[in-house]
Amino acid sequence: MSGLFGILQLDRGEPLGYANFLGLVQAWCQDAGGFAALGLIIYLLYSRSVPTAQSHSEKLRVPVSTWMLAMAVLSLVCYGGVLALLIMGKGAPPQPPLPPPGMVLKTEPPVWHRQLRPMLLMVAGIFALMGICEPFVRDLLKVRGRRIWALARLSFKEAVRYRILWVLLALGLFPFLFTGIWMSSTRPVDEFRVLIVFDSIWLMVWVLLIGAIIAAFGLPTDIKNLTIHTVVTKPVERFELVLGRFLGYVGLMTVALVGMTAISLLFISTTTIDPKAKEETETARVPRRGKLEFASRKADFDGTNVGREFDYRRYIPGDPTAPHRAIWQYYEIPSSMKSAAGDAVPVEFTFDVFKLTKGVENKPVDVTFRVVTHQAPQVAPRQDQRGEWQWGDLPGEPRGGGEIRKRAYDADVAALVARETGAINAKPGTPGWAAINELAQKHGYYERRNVGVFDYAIGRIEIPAGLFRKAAEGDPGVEEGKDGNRRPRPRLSIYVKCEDGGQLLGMAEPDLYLLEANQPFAVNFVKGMIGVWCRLCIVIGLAIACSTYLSGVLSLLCAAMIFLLGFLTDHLNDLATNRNVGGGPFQTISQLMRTETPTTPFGESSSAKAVLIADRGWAWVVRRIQNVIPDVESFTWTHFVSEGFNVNAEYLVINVLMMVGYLFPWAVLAYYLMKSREVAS
Amino acid sequence: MAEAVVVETRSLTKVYRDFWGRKKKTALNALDLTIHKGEIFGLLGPNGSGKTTTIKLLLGLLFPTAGDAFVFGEPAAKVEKNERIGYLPEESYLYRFLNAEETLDFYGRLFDIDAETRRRRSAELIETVGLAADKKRILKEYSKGMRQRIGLAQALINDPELVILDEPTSGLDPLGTAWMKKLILDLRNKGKTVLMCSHRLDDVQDVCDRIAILYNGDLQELGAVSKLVEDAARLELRAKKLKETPELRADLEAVIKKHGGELESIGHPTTTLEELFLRIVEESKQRPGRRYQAPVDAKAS
Repeated sequence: MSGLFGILQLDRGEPLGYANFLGLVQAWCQDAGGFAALGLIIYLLYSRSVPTAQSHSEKLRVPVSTWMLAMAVLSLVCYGGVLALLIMGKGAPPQPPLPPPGMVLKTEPPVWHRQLRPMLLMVAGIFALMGICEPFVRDLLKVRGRRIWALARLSFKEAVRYRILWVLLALGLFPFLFTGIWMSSTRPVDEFRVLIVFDSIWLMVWVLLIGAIIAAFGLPTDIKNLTIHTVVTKPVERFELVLGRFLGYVGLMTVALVGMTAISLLFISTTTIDPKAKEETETARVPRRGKLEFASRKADFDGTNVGREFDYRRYIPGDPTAPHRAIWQYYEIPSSMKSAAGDAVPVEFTFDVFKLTKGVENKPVDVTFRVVTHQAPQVAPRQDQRGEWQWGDLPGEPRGGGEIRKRAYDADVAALVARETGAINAKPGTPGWAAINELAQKHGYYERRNVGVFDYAIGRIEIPAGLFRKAAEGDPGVEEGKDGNRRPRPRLSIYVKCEDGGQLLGMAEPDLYLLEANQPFAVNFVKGMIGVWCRLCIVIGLAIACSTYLSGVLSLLCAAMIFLLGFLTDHLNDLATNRNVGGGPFQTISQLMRTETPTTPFGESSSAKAVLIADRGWAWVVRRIQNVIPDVESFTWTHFVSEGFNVNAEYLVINVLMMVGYLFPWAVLAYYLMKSREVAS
Repeated sequence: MAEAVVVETRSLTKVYRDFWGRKKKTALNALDLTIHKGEIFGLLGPNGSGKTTTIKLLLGLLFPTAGDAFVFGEPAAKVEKNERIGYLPEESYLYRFLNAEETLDFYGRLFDIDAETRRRRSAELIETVGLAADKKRILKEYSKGMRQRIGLAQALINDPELVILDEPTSGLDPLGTAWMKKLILDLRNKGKTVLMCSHRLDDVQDVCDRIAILYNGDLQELGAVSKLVEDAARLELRAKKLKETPELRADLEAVIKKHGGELESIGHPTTTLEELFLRIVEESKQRPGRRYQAPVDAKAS
């Protein structure tokens, strides 16, 4: 695992999984509901401008039911409640403090908030959605599969019979002919990564570009050529046109994506690559990550900051007598690890070695790994003890219980060594490993001393599976955390100690993991493409939704702009939270006019306050715009694939749900735009 | 006889507006029409008179500014009514990358017709419109007349009760025009209702039972064709085996004068150019090798 991968992981946080589902639903109801409320108000106002009272046709075309009115009223009442709470400053969910300007704002995963304000906001959104979706759902019931299929097939045939599509796809393969040029400046160890990253990005750009073009021009061409007249004069719901187009283009581009993926895999497998790079990356590791905590004699030790550019990694000082430890804690034990192949579970790691002294060239840093179960708790050494961590007493155990178990362990080790010299250093697959396993399972303790670790290189040790069998036994109970709160005790902990004086060992949570399994690379590559497929659906959906109202060129530009803004999440976050150095646009204009630098304190005058309020208003607008923009980075799995990490099926399921959730409001918008459009005017 | 009314408009009005809602043109002004089951109804008028606008309003392609339109008793905006309608637009707006079979299959699917019925009807209609030999060619390669024929086939794929034809003879040669008119009459004979609009007055006169004449969005005239074209102030006599001579003229003048009338003209009636053309083509089919023979006096000169 490269250092970059760890940083990416920390930047974005863990990919969203099932645990985030409820939080996502709540956030979706709030965001989509807000737009639904706005749409509902606009729709109700629009309905006043058409002669629904006199015309049966118009009443049918722009229906306003009691249900819609009731939902609109309920929604507005709830929004009124939210506004009141906002003014009173009550019922808000806890907000983590914003990092200072210049620091990256970490995206927090969505969680379900039980406070009154977010709940009321969600309920208001649900009412608005129920109101605006009533005609949509009613017409959706009239949708017929045969018609959708016909329209989808039509879109498919149309795109296929335009030869330009095939020319573009053929051009998409063109860069693969010149790998020698763009791979020439790549380090051998990175060859495989670069190949996959290039391949994935190129494939994505091409597929998205072609998808966007054909989707943006589909409906407008139909309207321009008047071919739509012979379609909408059949018993075809207007939304069936949108849905048919969407499914047709998605189907077509899915076929193209599958073809391109197959070609890419063939290309990757036939390209000559550095064997070490291939070994590191041509796999799909299934990692099991723990919670990282730093500990030492001092309770408040939280790792050392060495002042490197990125603040993600914390460091532990190295020395045989150092009490500083990085501890990865596991609260759940995967059942597969209890009966792992060869009775050994691999642990992989990548650490950053920060040298305080020059040291010796090409000599690794010695690191000790101590793996213990909850039955063998460890405690930091006292001041009068050396740096070695001690066996602690179990909850409810008489004082000195830990010491007794330590002695029993030492005695068993001595007996093992007496039976067979060197047995204590046995490796998996050797005859002595069974005894090591037995010892680890009996005492819940295993230690590997002085493992050589190179800077940013993947290292690996194997630990006995017996530890996991032991860890799964019993109830670990609770303990007091560093913050003083009670928390469950981990079932398994891995203590990492740096043995080399003058060196600091840097690590972040994703830097060490238990290797649960290795999946085939090709399968992982295909899974990575599901992220591209989700993006493809978003681009096509956006382009079609825009094309229900705009011309082809404008639809393409509009869809491209919305989609590409999704890559500027960090910048938009800064705008939305007013964290830019120099403030928002109004403060900037004000300072420019007064020829002040952005770092000049802005002052407390009433005009300055007015400017700041205007900037807060602007930030609110940006936050609403943010809700329209897809979180395209969530669908990126390139770094997982290129670094040889398995793309979890859970992530993909959430990805697909997020994609559907994002496209749904656009579908409703497309429904209304299409329905209100006079195709013959 | 509520069932007998197929199309009804009540003060149907359409005003075109610009993006800002400013009035551009009143395309149709308070149109009141009733079309009954089994009749061929023609909308007549110069360009911009509101014929096509009326049709588009009936089909839901445009939304009325005021008034109402009903088809089979349902508001025009109701999609389900289209199940019983066949529509042939002025230009045959079909997908040019499809061939005839694919075109009919596509439109058949839009009517949710099952595969077997779709296949059968497509084959019948392709035969009917005379495109059996060209059914595998894509529409892009078709002539305008051929496209009009396949356009008609798509309009009939659902065996509609109401057929709406916008300039059905547009782009057709005289043979095609005659074929189209015959087909329209056949549709009426099968109990279908036909609503058509055309600038070609002779077409309308030949096939329509009733017509509405529109001008500048206003309904100017409405009624049965036979009544509307009848010139009650004149009487026409036709006779066989007579030659125009001064004696005959004098006798006829005397008889007409005796009955209080006045002879306007006397002469041989002329056929229409269309009839002449059709007769010649028919003869050519009957007698292959038929050539134009110049009159004897023309040869001499």
